[in-house]
Amino acid sequence: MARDISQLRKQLINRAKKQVQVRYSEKDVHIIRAISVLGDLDNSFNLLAENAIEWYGGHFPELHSIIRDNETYLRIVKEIGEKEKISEKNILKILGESGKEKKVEEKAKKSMGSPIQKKTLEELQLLASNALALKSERKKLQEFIEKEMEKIAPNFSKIAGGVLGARLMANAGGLKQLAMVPASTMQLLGAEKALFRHLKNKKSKGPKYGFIYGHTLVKQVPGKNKGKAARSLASKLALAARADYFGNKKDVSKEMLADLEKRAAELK
Amino acid sequence: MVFVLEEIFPEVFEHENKIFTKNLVPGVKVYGERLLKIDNVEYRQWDFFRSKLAAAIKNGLTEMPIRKGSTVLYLGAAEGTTLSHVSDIIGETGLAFGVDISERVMRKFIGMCEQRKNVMPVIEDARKPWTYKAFLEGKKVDLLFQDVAQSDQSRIFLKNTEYFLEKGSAGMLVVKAKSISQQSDVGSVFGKELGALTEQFKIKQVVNLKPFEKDHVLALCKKL
Repeated sequence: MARDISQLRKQLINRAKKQVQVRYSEKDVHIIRAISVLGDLDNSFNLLAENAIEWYGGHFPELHSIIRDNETYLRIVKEIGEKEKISEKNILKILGESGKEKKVEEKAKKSMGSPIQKKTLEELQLLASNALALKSERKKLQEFIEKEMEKIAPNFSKIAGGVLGARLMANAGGLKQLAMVPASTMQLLGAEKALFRHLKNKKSKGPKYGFIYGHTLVKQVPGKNKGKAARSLASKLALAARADYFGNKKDVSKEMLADLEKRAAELK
Repeated sequence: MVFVLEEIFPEVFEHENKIFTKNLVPGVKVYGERLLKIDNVEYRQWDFFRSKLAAAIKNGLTEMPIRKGSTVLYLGAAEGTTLSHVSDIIGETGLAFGVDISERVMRKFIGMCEQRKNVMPVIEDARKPWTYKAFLEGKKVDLLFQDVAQSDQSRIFLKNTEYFLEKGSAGMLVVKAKSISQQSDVGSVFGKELGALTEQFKIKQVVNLKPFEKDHVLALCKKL
């Protein structure tokens, strides 16, 4: 009896280990992790950028009102440095054709900011380059997600778009779970908080869309039709997810996209 | 300083309002709990906030169906926090099966199983008891413990009862009201879930797990 049990135990442990291994060799697990990292990278970048902008603002406060984009701002800090060095030419190099270079140079000459010490600037530039490194990692990661989504769910990701599709899949719990999700749930993935608030208290309105609010199809229609657009999109997404998981690799996305475009035109 | 350890249940000890079990694998912590050494015996503190069974004991559970040598089937083992203490209690002669559906949490649990000779991991859906029936080799268990956050908790419990419990053996069901219904009143959810058991069980005690867990009760029952 005692031996039986130790054998059974060995067998069960090996079996469980194998199951874990199989689970982690599935592609959707990596995409789900990647999408979570993507969100964290965004947050970290914004946090660092905010700090850097605040800091550099003591030296050249006028810059932030001209350059609203954090990434460009940080590149100016990193690549040029002191405001005294700013010229039309080197700004043009960073911004490209934007028409802002003249204004930046002008403001830099008349800036009310205080001078910045060399050591301080070095620290600040290090911070800026670290933040920018996060940004470039994010870009790479996004490409990875888009590619992988295209591989495991071609129809679905063509309609939803790589990152949005991955976000929906992560929220559903995996590729299989995504294929099981009804269209009405698909529409509200990402809006759980608002949904449960509504279910508990009927006075607060129910949500019309979750993550899919960020989809171009929903974005392009006017406010009062956004709910309708979200509904149409969600139903196609649910179908596409099933085609990908259960189907025979047929491309159904073209017809669906055509349908959706027609629908969007109706709603405009 | 003299330590006074009072044995409140078999192999469960109380000391200064905290409870402990004898560590089956001395020197090893399972989830970062406190270790206490008295007279060369090592004890592990059983955290009320991390284990619902511990919370139930704290809140006045009157009877403990697990003792040395018991066989336990534990549904919803997760990372094995509670199960590690169950393993301490049943000792080397006992046997505990931990069932969970998620590979993610079982990663940690498998590590524990390798250290504790009386715990076995089973990655299966508790809704399908026939998938792991074979591992118990037709044995009935002394206690069926269930802590799963699913909307059909009582159904899962009854299904497993069919396979693994015989007359007179014990069941413990943790009911989490919020995973059954978000809207309806907590009390009525408990009533309904426990009502479903009465045909097959005599419910001996229902322990509310406040303040350690919100909207949870643990029901101790006996198979009729």
